[in-house]
Amino acid sequence: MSEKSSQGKDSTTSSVSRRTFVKAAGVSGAAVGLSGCIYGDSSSSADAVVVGVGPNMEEAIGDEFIQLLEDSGADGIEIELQPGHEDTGTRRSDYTNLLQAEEVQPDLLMMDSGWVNIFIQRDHIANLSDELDDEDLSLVEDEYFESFTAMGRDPDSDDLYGIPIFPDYPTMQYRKDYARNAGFTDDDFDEWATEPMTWQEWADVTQEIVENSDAEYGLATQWDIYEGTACCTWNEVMSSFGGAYFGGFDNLFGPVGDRPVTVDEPEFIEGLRMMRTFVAEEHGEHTHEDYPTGIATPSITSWQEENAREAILSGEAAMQRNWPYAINQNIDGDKDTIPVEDYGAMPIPYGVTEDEAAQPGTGGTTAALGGWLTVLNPNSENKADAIEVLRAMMVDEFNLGMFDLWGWVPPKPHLFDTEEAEQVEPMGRYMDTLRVAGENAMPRPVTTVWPDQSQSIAEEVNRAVAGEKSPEDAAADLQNSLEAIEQQ
Amino acid sequence: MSTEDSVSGPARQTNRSGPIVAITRWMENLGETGFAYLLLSPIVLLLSAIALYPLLRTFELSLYQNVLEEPVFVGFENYVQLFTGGADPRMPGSTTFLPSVSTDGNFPFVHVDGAFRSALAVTLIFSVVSVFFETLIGFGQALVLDQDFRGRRWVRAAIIIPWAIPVVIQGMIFYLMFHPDTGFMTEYLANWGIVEPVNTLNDPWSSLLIITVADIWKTTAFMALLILAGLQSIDRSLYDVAKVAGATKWQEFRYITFPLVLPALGIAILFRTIDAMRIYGLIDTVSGCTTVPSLSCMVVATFNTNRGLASAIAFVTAGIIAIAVMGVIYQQYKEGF
Repeated sequence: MSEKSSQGKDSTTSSVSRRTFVKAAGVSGAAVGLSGCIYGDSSSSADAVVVGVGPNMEEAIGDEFIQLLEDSGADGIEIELQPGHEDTGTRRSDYTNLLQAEEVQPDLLMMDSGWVNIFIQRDHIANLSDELDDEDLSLVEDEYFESFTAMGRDPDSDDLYGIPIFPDYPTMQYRKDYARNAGFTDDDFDEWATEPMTWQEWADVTQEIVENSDAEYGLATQWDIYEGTACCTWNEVMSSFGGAYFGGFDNLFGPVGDRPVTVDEPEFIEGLRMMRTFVAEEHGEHTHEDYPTGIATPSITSWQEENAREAILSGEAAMQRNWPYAINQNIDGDKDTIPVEDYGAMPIPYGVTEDEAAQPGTGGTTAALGGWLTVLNPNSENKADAIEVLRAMMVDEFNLGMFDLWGWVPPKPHLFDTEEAEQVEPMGRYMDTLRVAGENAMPRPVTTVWPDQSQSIAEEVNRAVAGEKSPEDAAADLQNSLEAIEQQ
Repeated sequence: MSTEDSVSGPARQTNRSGPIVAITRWMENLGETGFAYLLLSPIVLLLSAIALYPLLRTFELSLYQNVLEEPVFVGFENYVQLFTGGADPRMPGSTTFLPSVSTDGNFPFVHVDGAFRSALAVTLIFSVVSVFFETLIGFGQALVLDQDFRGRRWVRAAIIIPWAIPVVIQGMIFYLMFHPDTGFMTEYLANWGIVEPVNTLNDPWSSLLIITVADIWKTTAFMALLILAGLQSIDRSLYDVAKVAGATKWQEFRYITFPLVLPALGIAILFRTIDAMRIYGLIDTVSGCTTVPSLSCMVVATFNTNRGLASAIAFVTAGIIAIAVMGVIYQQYKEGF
């Protein structure tokens, strides 16, 4: 997975324009050969601050990235980029070995929000609360998206270990041209951009669009048996129904073994029933009478991000749930993409309001939180310079520069209101929606046992939505499985 | 000069009665068999080091937890967890493969629980079914290739092509054949009730079937070639004698071909069984270890989080393969091959 699409599986697109490539927030669409090794490049200067980054960014805008850091305060510091593996899982594994071997480089490492906390809890990376001064720490405390920053903190001590570089917030992206065929207007689109719908309203709207357009079905999303379903697509639906894996927002990062497992609950089953209904051809034992059937193609049970993106791009689907990268990729401006005026985005619909949610901190529109943070290698021999580079990454100009250059969504809410952000094409047009998503972001429950738990979650919810298992059985089996993992 | 001679003379005397001379004499006195073993010993030692060291090291690692950070000796705790199900939740895998062979859902005599049992079932089902069909079809192909007919070289090349395809490419071929968006095979097989129509590659039994067929498609050629080598080593004059004696084709096969090709067949089955028990790449490419968990899948899955447990699973897998190998070797020994 790329640094742009936190959950997207890397895939190959051969005809990617330079503009798309540079501006794409999701480089998952471009598989570029690895151009380095994380175990240390022999050409790395001992005096340089080596930053471990993704291969696509390094190859496409590596020089501009370094220039931006220098312009943002790291002037006079020699900076080298060391590309790691494109796939996030492989990168995690490489970084595990590297840090356990006490390698001194890279001095700074970019880590996926999905696994950075495991490195924190295993004490593999430097405690920035000890390394940064109070002014820097206050800046992170006051100006960054709180829920995103939480992923870079130690859940026990609340110490800071990672500086957010860019968050990833999914939205429900849709074809405005299809919606216009169904009689919806720009006024509707403006309202949809910031006012989340209930799932029921959304299903009705979607059904109407499909019936009055060339779309074959309404929803394209990801429901394969993989991390993305557990951390994100199902996490969003479940949370929007007021459900949670471990009893609510406060228990996302532990304590493992001492928190309740809350999946065999009505709100969990309700969400599963709705998703099953969307996929089912007709109502049956495991569907929900309140929702129409056939909203989604049954193929979603084998889909990941790129399948969904291609479905809306090709015109098969009226809507897709996806990360910001999909906006960039689908409205690039090439003849094979969708004109920007025909491409809309709205917050993810919700099942119950926050007041009605069964689990604390859930309910309402929910966007799974992805993104990447930068951490400091505790074995670095250039700590002072590395800290300066880290400080440069916290400067507004750097965040806005990378948004313009590479599509990294700023990690600070106030930057969403700036003129510079709004002028970035095409992402600037979607800032209002992205801000709503960011303000309602739900981090995944990352702990040392999460990788094992996410496997079970993905498997059970996939089978329930595919109709191979009843939602009740899936919830009960998952409850047992998660409890067993918690007790180890 | 004389001084040098007098010095070097006694020294040579000493060497002739030293350890090198003694070893040389010992070697000269060795029998032919003993001498052969002696010549083989360096390579045996080398191979032992290459083969046994990783195995012993794996066993050693399996006795620890937190292997790479602060290793903690836990004795056989990882094995206890593995066999009692305590470690199951750490491993991925569909529970669909859990066989219930006794009233309490466990194997008789041994309490093997949960996901490990599921992985064991997957590995054994895959190995038995794939090796059986590969042997059967491979035997048939070998018998055809053993005949002298026009275009035999082309047929042989055609049979070998699947074997030459890398596992990942092979996996992608079958992935695309059965993916709901691109697959052209799913609909037909689903109509016959053989595979699930929608979630085909995430359905455990459908996926296992597809993976098994993929393996048979690829590896049958390997069996055919090994068996063909055995067939071509049979003395053709035996068939002439059989014909003179009035033997039918079936009798030729029953009393000449089959018994004489059996050693080659045994070796081929042994190789394929070992290979089948290590199945991982094809599963990972076609459907993923969560859907079709094999023993090797579990080693990979647990490696990042619990290397001690991963070592235990790897060692147990090696042990199962060793038992299978020893069984075949013993059987061949008993039958005098």
